[in-house]
Amino acid sequence: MMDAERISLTVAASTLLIVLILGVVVALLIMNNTRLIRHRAELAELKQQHDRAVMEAEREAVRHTLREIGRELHDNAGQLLAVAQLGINTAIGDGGAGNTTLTAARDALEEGVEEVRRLGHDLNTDMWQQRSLADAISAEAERVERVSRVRVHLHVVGTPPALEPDTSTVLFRVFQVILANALKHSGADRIDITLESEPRFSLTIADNGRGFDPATVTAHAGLLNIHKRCALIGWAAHCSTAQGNGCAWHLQPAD
Amino acid sequence: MRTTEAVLLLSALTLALICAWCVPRPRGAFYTRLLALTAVEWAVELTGAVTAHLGVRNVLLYDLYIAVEFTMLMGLVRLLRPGWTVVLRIALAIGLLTVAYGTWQNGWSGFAWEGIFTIGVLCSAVFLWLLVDLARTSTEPLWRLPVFWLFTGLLLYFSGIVPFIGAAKILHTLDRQQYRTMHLIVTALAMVRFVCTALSCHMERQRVLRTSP
Repeated sequence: MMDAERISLTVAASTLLIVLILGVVVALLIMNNTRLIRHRAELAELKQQHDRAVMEAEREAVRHTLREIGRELHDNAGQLLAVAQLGINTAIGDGGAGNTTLTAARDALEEGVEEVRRLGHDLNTDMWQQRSLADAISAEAERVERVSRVRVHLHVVGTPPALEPDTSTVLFRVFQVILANALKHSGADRIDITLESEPRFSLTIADNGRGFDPATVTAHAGLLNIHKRCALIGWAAHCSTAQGNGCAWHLQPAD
Repeated sequence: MRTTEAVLLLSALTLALICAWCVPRPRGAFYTRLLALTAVEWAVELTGAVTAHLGVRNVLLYDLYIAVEFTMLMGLVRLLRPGWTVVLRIALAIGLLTVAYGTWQNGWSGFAWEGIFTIGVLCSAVFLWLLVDLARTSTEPLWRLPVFWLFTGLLLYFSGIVPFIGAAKILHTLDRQQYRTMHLIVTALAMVRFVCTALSCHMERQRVLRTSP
């Protein structure tokens, strides 16, 4: 009888011990798993920070290159064109006033100088220190109206807030892409640009062209680029269009 | 005392069965098999309780049941870790062979203690390793995983019964009363196991309801 009691006691103690050990093991597993998940989250955060830093470095490199190209255009190409312009003006003054070829060349050169200056200006991201996005869009709208038969109407509602230079650069590039697409593909004769400040800052570019079926062109690289560029600065681009109904792009900060 | 034990165990099993049934359909292979396993366990325990009450020997029923249960449990683990198939098949073969050996050794009227003991040890090792692997690979907190609670319950049950099963044969011979008292350990652990199964199924149900559109 005594043996049976001893055995029972041993069994009970062993069971209790096993259950306790397993309880500790399970608790340790939970703790270890929690730590592992936290560690993974930290790693993901670090990777995200690294990606952001790389992206920022890339953007800085692009900015630097553009600034250099802009400066080169302004200082070298611009100067050379100015010298050529001076030569032609001198030739016209020295008895060539009636020479229509010379006059046409001078006019073309004047336009060329103006274009190079504008290009140099546009490529320089520092320009956002002196110029607002609304000013840049207005100048671009005027230029498009001048060089094409499309009527461009700019509506500025309220006072647009001052944006970061990076944001302005990207928004302006996106605006240029949308405008170029409208000019090239839509067949529109009117483009409306609206800059609204309330309830939140937004930019809308709408044309009265032939539009397109969004289902057939969703994967188009140009359209994807618009979305990607906007996402880079934390903005969202939305396109409303239908075959024969024009196209309207609405850009605003993402929620 | 035996009636109280049977009622408590059947209550825990019924709770597990209801929870397994309540996992929204389609349940998926894992929870369908778990439902089948719980239903088999419920039927066996009910039959066991009735036969015991009537004084009919039910040893063979439990010997068969442990073999079926072990096979189904290894199948459940295989669903979660298909890469472990070879190891699980080896474990299954060892477990079933020892049950067969135990039955041959003890005859139709005696429990296959050797088999049950081996299965207890094998299940403990497999479930512990599965929990360690879950902790290593899970991307969400372990305590939020329904399968974690299921296998924690199974691990506690199979590890906890090993000392009793190891001594059961001798205890059964020496003192029947003491044996019955000690059998309470198995009942208590089985209740913990089925409550864990119920919790796991309930968590799975909540998860499915949360993620369904």
